[in-house]
Parts: sequence; structure tokens; C-alpha cells
Amino acid sequence: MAQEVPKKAAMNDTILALCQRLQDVGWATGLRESQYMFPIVEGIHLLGLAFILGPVLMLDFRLAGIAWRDMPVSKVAKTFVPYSLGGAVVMFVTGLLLFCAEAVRCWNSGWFKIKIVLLLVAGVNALYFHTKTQSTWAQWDTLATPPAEARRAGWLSMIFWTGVVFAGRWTAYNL
Amino acid sequence: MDLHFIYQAAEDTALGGWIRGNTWPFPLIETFHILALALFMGALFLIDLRLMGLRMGGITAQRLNKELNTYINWGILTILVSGAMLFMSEGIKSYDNAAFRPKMVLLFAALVFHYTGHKKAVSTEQPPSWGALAGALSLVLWFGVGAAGRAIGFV
Repeated sequence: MAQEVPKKAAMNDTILALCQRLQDVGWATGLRESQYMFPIVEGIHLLGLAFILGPVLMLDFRLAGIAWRDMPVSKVAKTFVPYSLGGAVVMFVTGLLLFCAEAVRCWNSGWFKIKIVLLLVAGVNALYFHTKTQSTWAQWDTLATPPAEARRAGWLSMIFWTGVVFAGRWTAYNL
Repeated sequence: MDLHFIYQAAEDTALGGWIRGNTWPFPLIETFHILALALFMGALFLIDLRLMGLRMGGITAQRLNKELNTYINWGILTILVSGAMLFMSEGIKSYDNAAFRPKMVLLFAALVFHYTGHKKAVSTEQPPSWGALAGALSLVLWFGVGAAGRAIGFV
């Protein structure tokens, strides 16, 4: 037990040192200290949110039985979800740039860690839905109110993404 | 005409003072502001992109609008109310901020267009000949509002 704490601290130091080296790279420093580039990248990151969440919410709404109730679930998924991939690429690239510029601050931020965990959880939820729940799709594709398991997937997705937005915004406040 | 008195009146509201005087209200309100943005712009952009010619499984812009209108309206209401609260908490700061007035002008234009031209463009099953233009204009206006809003925190 006595050894646990120093070990953890040492690992944290190692990661922090890596973060420091990352943000000391020329372009990362340049981005962090730039007057316009940083807010512009952050602005794109923020607006990309609309492009990822819009389509994702459509499927979530359909699964939860809130909207598109007279349209087959498969049609809603096929129509909207591909657009969120474009948003996802934009979010990932701009997010990575912002992280590189402020790696140390991100690693020291509890909200940032919560955000990453929530992103992973949202991903697991989506993956679980696509691999497990979707296999029985044919039976409830046209039901206005899908079965409980599908409704849960929709609600969980909405909750996790709301959490991602919250934690993301709060990463920028030093609270 | 100097509108300083409006900014001063906002600054002097009890609600503004309360938000200013505490740590948590501002970030909380701003997060709701951004959540509402993500919700309504996400829904609105889908309609705009459809108007601009993306196929979207053949679902018409009219149908998209019918299904999403409620969320867009609630999103706009949330963003206006939370925005007004943020404004009250930093009225004078907003007066001095170079990005604040451009944002308000863009917001006014975006709102007017949303409830006039854009509304008309999605009111028929077959969009009008200028439908694509309406979608693009809506996209550009709301993007401008977002960009100017982001700039408020930096200039």
C-alpha cells in the first residue's frame, strides 16, 4: 500500500513530462500563443459540435420515441448518421490540435478526464447498440416506440453527449 | 446614438449582479447556452444542408422542418434567455467588447431571416427556386453568430 502512492505520483509525473514535451513542440507552442489561430480552431471545434450532434440526436430521438416515429429506425440511421462522421473528423482533428497546444493544462484538469471518459462511454454505448441491439432490428424497425433496450440506448447517448459538452466547456474554465 | 444606457441597465439588474458575484452561475448558464446551440444548430444545419441539395434519403426539407421545428424553437428560446442572463452579468464589459455588437447584428439578421425567408423556403414540399440560397444564407448567418460569439471571449 505504502508503495502505491509514490508509484502513482511517478506515473503522473511521467505523463506530465510527456505533455510538457508535446506542447513545447514548435507548432503547438505557436498555436497556444497565437492571437487568432487558437480561438479560430476552438471556434471550429465548437461549431463542429452542431454537425456531430445534429445527426446523432436524430437517431437518439427516434430510438427514444421522441421524433420520426412514423419512419423506420433503419431509415433514420441511414439518412442522418453518415453526416455525423464528417463532424466527428472535424471534432477529432481540432480537438487533437487544442490538446497538443495545452496538454499540461488538459492533463491537470479533472473536467478534461471526465470528458474523455464520457466520450469513451458514449462510444461503448453506440458500439453495444450497433453490435447487440441492432441484430434484432428487423422486429421493431417500424414500431413508433422501440423496445426498452433501444430506448435506453437513445437516452444514454443523449445523456453522455450532454455530459461531454458540459465537461468540455468546463475544461476551459479553471474550476 | 450611444446605447450605453442599455448596457448600464443590464449591468445594474439584480440577476446580473448575482451571476457576477458568484463562481458557478456564469459557467453553468454558459454551458446551457452552448448545449442549446448544439441542439438547435445541429437540427437547423440538417435542414439547411437539405435545402442546399444534399439528398438525405429523399426526406424533404419540409418534412425535416416539421419534425425538428419544435426543438429548434426551444433551442432558440433557451439560447436567447441564457444569452440575456450572460449579458446582464457583464453589461459594461459587453459595451467595451468589439465582437459583441457584430454578434447582436448578426443574431438579429439570423432571427429575422429564420422566421421569414427560411420559414417560407421549408413551407412547401417542393422548395422554391431560391431554396438552396436560403439554406446557404441560414448556414452562413448562424455560423457568423457562433463565430462572433466565440470572439467575444477573446477580443
